[in-house]
Amino acid sequence: MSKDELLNAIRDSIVNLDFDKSKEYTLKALEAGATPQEIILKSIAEGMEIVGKKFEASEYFLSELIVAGEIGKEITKILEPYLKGGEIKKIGKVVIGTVRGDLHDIGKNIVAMMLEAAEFKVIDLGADVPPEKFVEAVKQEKPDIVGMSALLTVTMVEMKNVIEALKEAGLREKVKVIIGGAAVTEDYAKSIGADGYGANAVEGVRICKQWMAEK
Amino acid sequence: MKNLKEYFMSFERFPVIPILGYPALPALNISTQECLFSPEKHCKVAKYLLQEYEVDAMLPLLDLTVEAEALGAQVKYTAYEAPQIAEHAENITSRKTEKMKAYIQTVEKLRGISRGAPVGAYVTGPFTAAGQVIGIQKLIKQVYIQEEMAKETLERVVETVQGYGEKIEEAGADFIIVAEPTSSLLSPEQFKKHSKPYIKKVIGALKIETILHICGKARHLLKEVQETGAAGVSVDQNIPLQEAAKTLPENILILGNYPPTNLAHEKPSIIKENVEKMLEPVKEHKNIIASTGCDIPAKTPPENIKTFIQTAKNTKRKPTT
Repeated sequence: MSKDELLNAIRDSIVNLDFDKSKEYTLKALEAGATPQEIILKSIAEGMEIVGKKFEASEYFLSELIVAGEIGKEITKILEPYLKGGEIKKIGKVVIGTVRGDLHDIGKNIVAMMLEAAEFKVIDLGADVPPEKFVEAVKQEKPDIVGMSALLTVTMVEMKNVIEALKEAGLREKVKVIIGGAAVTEDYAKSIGADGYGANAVEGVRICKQWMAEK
Repeated sequence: MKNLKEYFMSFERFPVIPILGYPALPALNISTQECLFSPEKHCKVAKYLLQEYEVDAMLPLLDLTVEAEALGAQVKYTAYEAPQIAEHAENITSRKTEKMKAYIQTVEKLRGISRGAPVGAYVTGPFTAAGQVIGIQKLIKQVYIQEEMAKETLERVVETVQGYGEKIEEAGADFIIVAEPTSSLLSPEQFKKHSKPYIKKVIGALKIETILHICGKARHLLKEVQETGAAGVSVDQNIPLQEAAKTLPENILILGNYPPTNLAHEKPSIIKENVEKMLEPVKEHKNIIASTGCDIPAKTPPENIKTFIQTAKNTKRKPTT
């Protein structure tokens, strides 16, 4: 297979959720002279985009987004030694976390994986993240976007606290804020002054990409 | 009691069984942990819920960590909200926990104080319990990449869930709600392979009737769930009640689907309006029970919950047959 064929084969193995083939083709593509950048752009990003489209068309479900994301992560791991310190160019930086009181991280993890595949640098603060930690991360990392997730209705109110804390620290205008999660609605996002609401992971990533394009 | 389906289908008005438990805790000044570990306090809570809110079934608290803890996961408690998993188990181990014992004893005691209302109890669905034990991402990875391992995990988990369900039945529950929210992540194909058979196993081992609660974006699974053997299906706002009524056969109870987020934040006047809107299109169906799409948060104003319940109770069914 030529280099281009191998890049397509990696992409297709992500779309087909074939873990073993994706690894095999990645190693072959590297041997054939593909750069990590090419694999990230042409195989992972494109593959995840197709998976996202299939999700929106109800051909794929959340479990398939999770598996595709895991495959993308595995491929990235294989690529790491080949990067030789040369950072891959990112289109933007996102600080992401599940808010205080909420230990559910599956939704946030799906979004983080999809964002990485879409060439974002993702700073994942984990679950049960207090407002101070979001503020600190924004100060340190200077992200373009802050993403918050909550599965529980009870913890959703924490999103408002994070936005308030960002305001108090004088950082609110420096970042776009997007929220999502099972309990969250678009009306709630508006009511607390978030800039965006992702009804699902694919939509969330699309909004983030759009913001970066508008910058 | 007589058949659950017949009982609830015979109502002239909509029966109301919200997923309600935690709001009683701040009202009675009993913490989540105190309640879940003390059958006496748990009974006090269930009695309060029945009397104060006048719901149509007596239920203890919904706790999705009971089985996972018995299988090796660590649990975190807050003052009044539902417990969550703090740490997943590296290896699945099996043990009887104090909390599990207390829950079974609670159900035993509820029988004596239910004043004729059916007594229900919750168990966690096998796929959801497995996700709680080893972590959802790990479980999903097993399902797609290491199928044999997924099977092994789920078989170990279902044993505990089934055993727990049987103990609850022995303790005298009239029905069991099998809470299986994590299954909504699965495609229909994977649900058929990795969730449905285990749900069927749990339900099949019980003589009493069950309700399968599957919240989340579960529209694509609606046809599948009717084959689990459950007497009823409980859905959230992602599936409109009229759609559930169209898809599911008339002899399956349908519970749903007021969003708890809205119940916690809306004004009572809006809740009244929305409950009426929710029930109006399904008045002809005698298999609908008014409920919430998921667990009601502890801090929800009692007035909101009462408005929900009373509005539903004031709504008459208009069955065509």
